[in-house]
Amino acid sequence: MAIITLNGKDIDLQNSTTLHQVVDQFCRGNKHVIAELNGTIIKTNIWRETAVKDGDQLELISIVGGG
Amino acid sequence: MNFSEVPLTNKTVQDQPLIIAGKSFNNRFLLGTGKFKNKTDLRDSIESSGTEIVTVALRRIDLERHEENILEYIPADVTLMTNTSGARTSQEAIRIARIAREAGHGDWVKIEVINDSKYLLPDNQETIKATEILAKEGFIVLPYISPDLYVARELVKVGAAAVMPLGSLIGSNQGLKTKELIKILIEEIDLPIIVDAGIGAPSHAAEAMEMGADAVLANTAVATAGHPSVLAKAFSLAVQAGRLGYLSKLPATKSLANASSPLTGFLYNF
Repeated sequence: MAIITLNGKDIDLQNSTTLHQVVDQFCRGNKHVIAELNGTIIKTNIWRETAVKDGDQLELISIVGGG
Repeated sequence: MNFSEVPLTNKTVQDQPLIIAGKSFNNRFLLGTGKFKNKTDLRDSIESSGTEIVTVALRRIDLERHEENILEYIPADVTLMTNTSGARTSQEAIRIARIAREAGHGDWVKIEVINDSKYLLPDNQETIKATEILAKEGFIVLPYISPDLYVARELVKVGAAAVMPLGSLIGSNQGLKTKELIKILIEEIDLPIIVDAGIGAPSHAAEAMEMGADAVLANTAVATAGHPSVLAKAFSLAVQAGRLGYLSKLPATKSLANASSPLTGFLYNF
């Protein structure tokens, strides 16, 4: 069982092993997700080949309204 | 219709576009995109005002509920400026700016460093630090500050693209409480001065423009109005009216009356 910290919470990855799968698991349908894995921004085009492992810190971020 | 394109009647007075970091804008009203009850109000407000620059923020995605993405409601030709709201230090602001750029949202950034939850006043010193580092990294940096001449001069030195002094407390709708201090920045600082925060009514925006501000940003007032897109349009018109007033070289105020009609040739003898 792989546990990562996602947006500050411990999350069980279940069957996800790549960043693409994690984003799909938690943000399905959101086309504007920004992913920061262990402090590094990961560009969308390499999500499928980016492994997410037990203990990783992942931030999923989005543009929102703001002044 | 873009109201900034309405030509001036006197051809000898021609307005210039607002230029920030070499980019020209015809509309001098900037809109913040926070707090809108629904996103169609935001889209309509962008359209009715003709604004060409909007601010957005970065937040963690709420994993519990699906939210519509705001980018779907902002036309592609509008310049997106990410604010660093939520940052309490220069380092946090720098991280937010870098994330926005890495994610493909451009290099326009409004530096907003706040470490006070009661008044939400910006930390000018941390803002200078963040501006210096981000300007060196090629960002177009618009720092949001409490109006202060020395701070503004420092921001010029470290490479700010414009200076955004607050009119009054964020979201307070109090108008231009800092008017005299902003006036000093307008006179002394050779960068666009964009009045931001506390602008609660079109008259406040017009007042800022009349005294020579280069642009005005509003958010809370528009987003929380009963009819947001109507107020957005009113702001845009007020910014334009104030701008024309400034260009007209307003006459000075006087303490005594001065008759508007001739004081000779009266029809009655007194």
